[in-house]
Amino acid sequence: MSMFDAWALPGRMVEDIGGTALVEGAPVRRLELAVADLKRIASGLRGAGEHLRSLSSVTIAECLGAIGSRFRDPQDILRLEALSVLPETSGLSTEMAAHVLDGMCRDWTTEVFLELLEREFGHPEALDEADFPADFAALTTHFGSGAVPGVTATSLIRALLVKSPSLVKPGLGDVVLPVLWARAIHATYPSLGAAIAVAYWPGGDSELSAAAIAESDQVVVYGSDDTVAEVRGRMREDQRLVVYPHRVGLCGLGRESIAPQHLQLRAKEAALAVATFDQRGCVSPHVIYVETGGETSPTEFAEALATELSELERELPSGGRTPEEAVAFQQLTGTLEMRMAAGEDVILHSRPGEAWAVAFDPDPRFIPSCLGRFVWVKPLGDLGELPEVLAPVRRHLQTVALEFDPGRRAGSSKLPESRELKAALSALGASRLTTLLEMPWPRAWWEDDGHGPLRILVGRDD
Amino acid sequence: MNDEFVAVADDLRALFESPEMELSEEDFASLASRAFDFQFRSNPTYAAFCRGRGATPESVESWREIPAVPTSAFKALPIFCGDPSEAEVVFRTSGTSGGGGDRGDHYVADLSLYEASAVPHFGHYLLPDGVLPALVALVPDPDVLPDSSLSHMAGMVGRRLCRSTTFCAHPEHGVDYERVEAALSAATEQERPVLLFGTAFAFVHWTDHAIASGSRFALPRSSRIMETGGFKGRSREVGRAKLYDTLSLITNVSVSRIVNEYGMTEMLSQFYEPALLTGPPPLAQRHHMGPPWVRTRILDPVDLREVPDGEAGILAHFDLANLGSVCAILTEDLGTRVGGGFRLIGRTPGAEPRGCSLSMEEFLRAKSTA
Repeated sequence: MSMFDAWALPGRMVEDIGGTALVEGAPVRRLELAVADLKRIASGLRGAGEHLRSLSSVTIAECLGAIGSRFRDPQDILRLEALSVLPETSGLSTEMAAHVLDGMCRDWTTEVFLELLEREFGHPEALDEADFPADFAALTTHFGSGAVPGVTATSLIRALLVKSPSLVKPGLGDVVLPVLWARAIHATYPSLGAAIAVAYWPGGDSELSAAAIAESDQVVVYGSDDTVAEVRGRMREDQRLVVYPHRVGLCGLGRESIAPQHLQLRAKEAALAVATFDQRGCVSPHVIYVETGGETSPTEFAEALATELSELERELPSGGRTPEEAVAFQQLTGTLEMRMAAGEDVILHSRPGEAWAVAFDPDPRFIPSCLGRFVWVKPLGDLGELPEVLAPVRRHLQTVALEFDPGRRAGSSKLPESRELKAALSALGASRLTTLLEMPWPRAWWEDDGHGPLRILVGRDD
Repeated sequence: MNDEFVAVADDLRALFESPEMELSEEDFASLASRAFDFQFRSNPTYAAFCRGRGATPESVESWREIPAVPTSAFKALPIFCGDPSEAEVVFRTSGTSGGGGDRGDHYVADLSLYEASAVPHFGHYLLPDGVLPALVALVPDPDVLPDSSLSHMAGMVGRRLCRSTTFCAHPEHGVDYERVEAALSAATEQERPVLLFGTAFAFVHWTDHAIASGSRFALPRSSRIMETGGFKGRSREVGRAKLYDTLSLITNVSVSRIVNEYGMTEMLSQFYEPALLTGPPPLAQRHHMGPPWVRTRILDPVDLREVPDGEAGILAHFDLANLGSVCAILTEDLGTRVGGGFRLIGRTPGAEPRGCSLSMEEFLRAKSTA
C-alpha cells in the first residue's frame, strides 16, 4: 500500500516545514517538525480562535455532522481511504477496522453533537451566550492514544464543540482518523479548519511534546500512568490538564441472564465485547464474573464463550498481537496449562497458535487479562459481591457491563436492589455501567473517568 | 533424589567440569533425552503438561519437541522432580519484574550441580586470562539472602575463582556505598584487579551516588565488571550505554571490559557476552553465548515454531543444568540468533503501546507501589 501522510495542517503551513520522514515499522510518513514549526503552528491556531468562537454551536455541529456522515457513506472517498489504511496502522483486521469505524461514527452526527451540548450545558447554544460561564481554552493540545481508531478524532471533535482550536498529536495506531477528519474540514470548511492541526511525531520525541505543551492552555492526554505523569510534570499551574488514563472493563452476569434459553445470545454478546478493538479498548472486558447457582454454571458459560469467540474469528478476525502481547499470551496460557496439569480447577479453552483464549479460574480475585482476546471467567456467589471483589482494582475501574433481572434481586442476600449494586460500583469508581451489547460503544455523552466530556474542556468539571 | 537423577547428574557434572567446553549435537541430544525421560517420570505435573501437548519420551524425536514451561509458571506452582520439601535450596525471583509480591520459586535439588555448571562457565567468560581478582559484589551475602540465586552465584564465584569477596548490599537497606568504595579503594592501593559484580539496578544507584559525591577510582587495568539485570521495557541500548559510560568514568574500567550476564532464577545456567574473549563490538551489536549444555531456540511468538535465522522471536532454552526442575524453559525475552548465541531485543525504539486498556505490566506495577 502507499504511504499515509500523517499530518493535516491548515492553509499553507506545511510549506514552511523542512521535510518528511518515514515512520519506522509503518506505512506512514511524518513531517520533520522542529520546535519552531510547532510554535508557528500553535500561533496560527490561536489566531483562528476568535473566528472559531464567533461560529454558533449549531453551525459547528452541522459542519462536524456533515463530515461524520461521510465516514458512514460506503461510497465516500473519505470512508474508503480510512478503510484502506486503518488495518495497517491500527493492527486490526480489515473486518474489525470496518466494524470499529462503523461503531465510532454512529455518534458522529449533528443530532448527537447537539444533544451532547444540551446534556452538558443545558441547551445546545449555551456556549454562544456571551456571559455563559466557561473558561475557553485558546489552544488545546491532544496527545492521542494507541491503537483504538476514533478515540483521538473524538477528542478533537469535543474540543471543536467547545470552540477550542486544537493541535492533535495522535498515537501511531490511531493516526488515520484524526488526519482524515482534519483534512476534510480544511477542504470543506476552511475557516473552521484554520483552527485545527494534526501532526504525528514519535512518542519518544520529548522536545516536540514539551514545546506543544508549553504553547497550550489546555492539554488532553490519553495514556498510561507514566505518560500522564510525564505530561503533568511539564505543565504550568496556569494550564489545564485533562487525563484519560488506561482503564479496565469487566462484566457481571446474573445467573438468570445465562439460563439455557439466553446462553448463546449472552455468549455472543460477551464474545463481541471481548473481540472488539482486539480487546485493547478501555471499555474491553478483562474478566467476566458469572453468578453460580443457576441452570448454567460459570464453566458452562466459559465453554459457550469459547465457542462464540472461535466463531467470531471467522467474521471479525483478530489483527494479531504485538510481540510483547504474544509473549504475555504464551506465558499466561502456558502457566494455565501447567496449573491444569497440577490438578487445579482452572480450565483453559484455547490451542497453541489460537487467536483467543477463555480461562475459567475459580479464584474470584480480579486479575487483568494479557489482552489480545484473552478473557477470564470467574464465579461469584452473588453479583452483590462485585464491589468487594473489585475494591483492590478501584483505581483502574471504568466500565462494568451488567446483565441480570432487576426483579430477581429482591431475594438476593447482598445488595438486593439493582440500584444499590450500581451505586456501590459507581462509588468504587466505575464511571460507566452498561449492558454487554453496549459495552464497546459508549455514547458521546458518557462521563469517561467521571468527567462531562465537554464540561471538563471549559473548566466546568463539577 | 533418586538413582536416576544421580546417574544423569553425575554425567552432567563430568560434562560441566570438563575443560573442553564443547558438546556435540549428538551428545547433547542424548543427555536431553535422558533428562526429559527423568523429568517426565518424576514430575507428574510436567508429564501431564507434556501429554496435553502430545509429547512423551516415546513420541518426541528431538529435544526441540520437548514442551517448554513458561517462566511465569514458577510463580504459580512448585516445579520439581520429586517432593519439593527435599529441595536443597529454593531460589526466589526478586519480585521486581512481576510486581505485587508475586515471586517465582525455583526448587533446586543439588547445589553442587549448580556450582559445577555455573562456576567454570563464569570463569570462561569473565576470567579468561586466569586473573585472581578481588570480588566486589553489589549483592547481599548469600548467608543473609539464601533464596537469591545471584547472591549464591557471587558466593560460589568468590570462593572458587577470586582472591577475596566483599558483599556490599543488604536486602533491606540496598547498596552500602561506603563498603563498595572502601573495597575499591583497598584493591586500588594494593594494585589488585577487581571483579565488580552487580545488577544494573544496583549499579545505577551506586553510580548516581558516586557522581554526586565525586568518587572516582583508578582500578588496575585488568579489572572487569559483570553487570546483570537490564532495562526492561525501555530501549536497552540507550540505558545500557549511559550506565556503562558512567561505570567506566567512575572506575576507569574500559567499557570493553564490562560484560553483561543474562540469566534468570528459573534457570541454573547463564549466558555471557564474550567481550573479554573476542573483543567487544559496539554495544548494540553484542550478543550472548551460553554453555555447551544449553541450547536456545528462537520461537515465533504466535505459534511457537522455530523462526528462520535473522528473525526475532521468543527465547526458549533447554538447560541440562535444570535437571531437578524442568530443562525446557519458555522465557519472556525476545531475541535473534547471532552466530552460536543470540542478541536480546528490548522494546523497539519508538514503539508505542497499543490501546487504552490497562496492561498487565501497568497493573502489577501499580499494585506493587500501592
